[in-house]
Amino acid sequence: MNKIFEIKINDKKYKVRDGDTVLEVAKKNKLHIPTLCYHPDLLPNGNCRLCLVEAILKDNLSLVSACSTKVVPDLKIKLDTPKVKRIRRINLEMLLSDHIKKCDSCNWHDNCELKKLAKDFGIKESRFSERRRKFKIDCKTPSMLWDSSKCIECGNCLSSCKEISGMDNIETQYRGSSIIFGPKGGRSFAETNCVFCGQCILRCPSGSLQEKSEVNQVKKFLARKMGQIAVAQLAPSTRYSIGELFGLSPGENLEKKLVASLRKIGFDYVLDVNVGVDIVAIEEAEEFIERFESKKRLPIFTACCPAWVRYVEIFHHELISQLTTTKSPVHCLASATKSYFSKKIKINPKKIKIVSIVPCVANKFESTLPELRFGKRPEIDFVLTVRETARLLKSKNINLAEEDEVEFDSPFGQATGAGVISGASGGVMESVLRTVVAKLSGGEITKLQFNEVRGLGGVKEAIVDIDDQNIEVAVVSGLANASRLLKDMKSGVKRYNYVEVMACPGGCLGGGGQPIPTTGEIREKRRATYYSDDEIKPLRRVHENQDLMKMYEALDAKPLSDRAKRLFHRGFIKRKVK
Amino acid sequence: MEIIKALKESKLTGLGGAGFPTWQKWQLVKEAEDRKRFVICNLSEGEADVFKDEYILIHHLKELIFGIELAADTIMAQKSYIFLNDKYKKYFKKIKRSTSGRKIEIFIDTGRYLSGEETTLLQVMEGKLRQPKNKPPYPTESGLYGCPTLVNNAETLYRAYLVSTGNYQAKRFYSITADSGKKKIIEASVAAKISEIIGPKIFWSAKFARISGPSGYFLLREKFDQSVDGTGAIRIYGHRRRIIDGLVDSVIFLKSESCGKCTPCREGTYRIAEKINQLLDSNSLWDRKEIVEVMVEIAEAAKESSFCTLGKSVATPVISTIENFKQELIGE
Repeated sequence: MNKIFEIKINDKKYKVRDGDTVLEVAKKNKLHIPTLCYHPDLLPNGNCRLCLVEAILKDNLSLVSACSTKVVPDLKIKLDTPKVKRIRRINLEMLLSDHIKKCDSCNWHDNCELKKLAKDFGIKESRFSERRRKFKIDCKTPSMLWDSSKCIECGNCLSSCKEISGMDNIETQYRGSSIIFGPKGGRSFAETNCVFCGQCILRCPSGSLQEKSEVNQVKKFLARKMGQIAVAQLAPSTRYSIGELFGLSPGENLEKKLVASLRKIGFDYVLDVNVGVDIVAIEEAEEFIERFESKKRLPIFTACCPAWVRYVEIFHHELISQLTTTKSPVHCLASATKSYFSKKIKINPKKIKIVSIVPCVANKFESTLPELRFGKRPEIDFVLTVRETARLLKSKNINLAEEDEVEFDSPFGQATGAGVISGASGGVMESVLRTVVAKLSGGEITKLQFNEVRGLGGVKEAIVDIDDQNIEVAVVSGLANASRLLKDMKSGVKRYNYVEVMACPGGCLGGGGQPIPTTGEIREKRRATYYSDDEIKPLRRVHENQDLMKMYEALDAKPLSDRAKRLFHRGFIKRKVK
Repeated sequence: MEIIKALKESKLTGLGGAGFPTWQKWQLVKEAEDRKRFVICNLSEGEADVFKDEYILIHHLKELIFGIELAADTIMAQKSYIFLNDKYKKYFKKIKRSTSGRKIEIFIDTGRYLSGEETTLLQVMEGKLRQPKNKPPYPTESGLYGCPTLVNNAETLYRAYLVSTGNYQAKRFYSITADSGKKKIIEASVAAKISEIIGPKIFWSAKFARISGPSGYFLLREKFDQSVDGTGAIRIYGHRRRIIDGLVDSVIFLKSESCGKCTPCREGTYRIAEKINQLLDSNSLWDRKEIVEVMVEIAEAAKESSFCTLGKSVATPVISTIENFKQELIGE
């Protein structure tokens, strides 16, 4: 138990716990302290010096940063003295002139923290000239865009890469006041071991790091389709978070409104990736049962997260044979669309262009891989993140909150609840387990909820027993946690049969392509609705989904048959560590 | 306990710049709970104008090593390190020879101004980002690899050894750079006046001086009756030099040596340098007054809100120039 004592803020007493920072205390009591580089997911680094407060301890007055100062007994804090205000203002003024404003193309466009602070402080024109004349831009990789002219050197990208992803792809360059943060080596993310999880993008307050935008290409395509069919596919977790960018609360399910607005801007069909998740779950369940019974290549690792797959391909060549070969849900659906759906509507698959709307940045990279092609063309033609999709809709003057409600096109019939929960870490595992448990027990056990694998914890473990066999499973989110777990597994401390890994904290709901800001609180709100929506679904076990079975029949395939392997499975490549 | 008492009586303070009482630092580490402890001899000496540590390496290396061992014995350290700036790499063999058979390891660093700051020094030794850490915890509680660590400047350890042998006479080394660039070390009393330290010849050739390096302050010759604290560096500027030359020297050094962590130091040094250029180019008195006002404002922000002590000291040269030489600066 932490000690509880009192401190004074603005001459008022507040009860605090030992170990809290001044900022946490202020937030709890609804006192406002301006912040910029502070992010609740990261350790405070105290770089921007905007959260300054006056601290008096034993008659010693000093200015301290609220984010990194821990409370001690008898501490007196003054929040907005003239001196504090003056110094915050000049610091902000200097930061603003360090940041070249490219607002219209920025991730933060509508909720820019810098703009808001400038407004709060009443800074209208800068007394300083723009300082960055020479700057670097990197758009060599399909996923990342790095523009150092916007960087305000807060260092959040470096902390994210280290603390959340457990890697060191970002470093500082140059010395003194010309320091910049950027990809290791200083030129491009293509020269680093970056897996494109995009966690740095979520925590960059200046928009210096962004996803490489494909909005313009999609717009161009929609304006001139030349007889091609435009298909949009919506990943499960996008519909719960996109509302945040239109002023709605997180966790609101907007799928019907999204379908309507996507149709409005020119998409011919809008498909639900939940079907893709069903395909993944059934393929993976079959694969698991086969491997589990023959005790070969265990533990089996999921491969539905492209960032995790790349992580294994770069750092853990020994695990490649243990990855499930099933493609990620978006690619399974794209493959089904171009094979099954194209036959159904009698259109050459070459003429179908798929725009995938995902909460992910790594998907952009994944869609360019040669292993994931349909014929000679990429399976997925464009990938938009949630943020880009909102930008696309806004540029067409669509306010999502006011749209009509339209159902998905359902050439594949209905989907189970598997897709809904796959947006949270543990979701894919749970849907696979529902089928595995039912099949292995011969239909005796009909367990539907695996509560141990739910929640936002970094590592979750469970033992599922069927008759006399135990399936030991682990669910990890965040690559830093994954690398820790792999170490434990290597040393033999931990043993599992089945491991699900998602690169982003909390799974896709905390994905690199999700709306900004993404904090623990917001993630929890998004997560809560997933499970309630799953519960009201009539179908929750994928192998009972008759529509899905019909599709397999029409494709003349069965789960894990040769034809299914050609469509829904992939190979992996050993990549070099740079 | 003997030596700590002796240090207390001798009133020896840290000679690296901050001037923290040496006995207190030793006491803190000695009383720390963790069993594993380290002593680090700070030989980073990245600041311009200071070269006393090199002088110690050349002339008093033996005493320095004894000083390190004394500290290690007193605080019961497992191991000691010498944190060596790589501009002193030429002394590596010499140090290696005299430390052979002792539990002293030499750590060579690329040598930057900021490595002299103790938390940054620890970050560098742990292979982390070259930026300071939050204090508290102080290195005396949680230093190298989280163990209590005594970080002392080389001269402090040397003087501590003199205290233990009873030869300490309240003296210290002063690094003096003449306007011609000629350097020399003078050993004098800690309370000595500048005029006494530099001697009459240099005194009369001086217009003003920079005390304690680039992060220090400027003094006109009339005020040379003060004593020197901090790093003990004195740089003389001759009659033909303008005060702005001295300030430019300081600011350019600080600008390129800032670690870039916090806003007021990183942006502030850049902006002050920019404003000085504007000041030099400007023809209007009105403009110049305004520019000086902005400089004061930035300096205040740096002084009050920088992350580490070195960032805070950015303000010293700027404010001391503006306070003492405002007329000359604005050119009224």
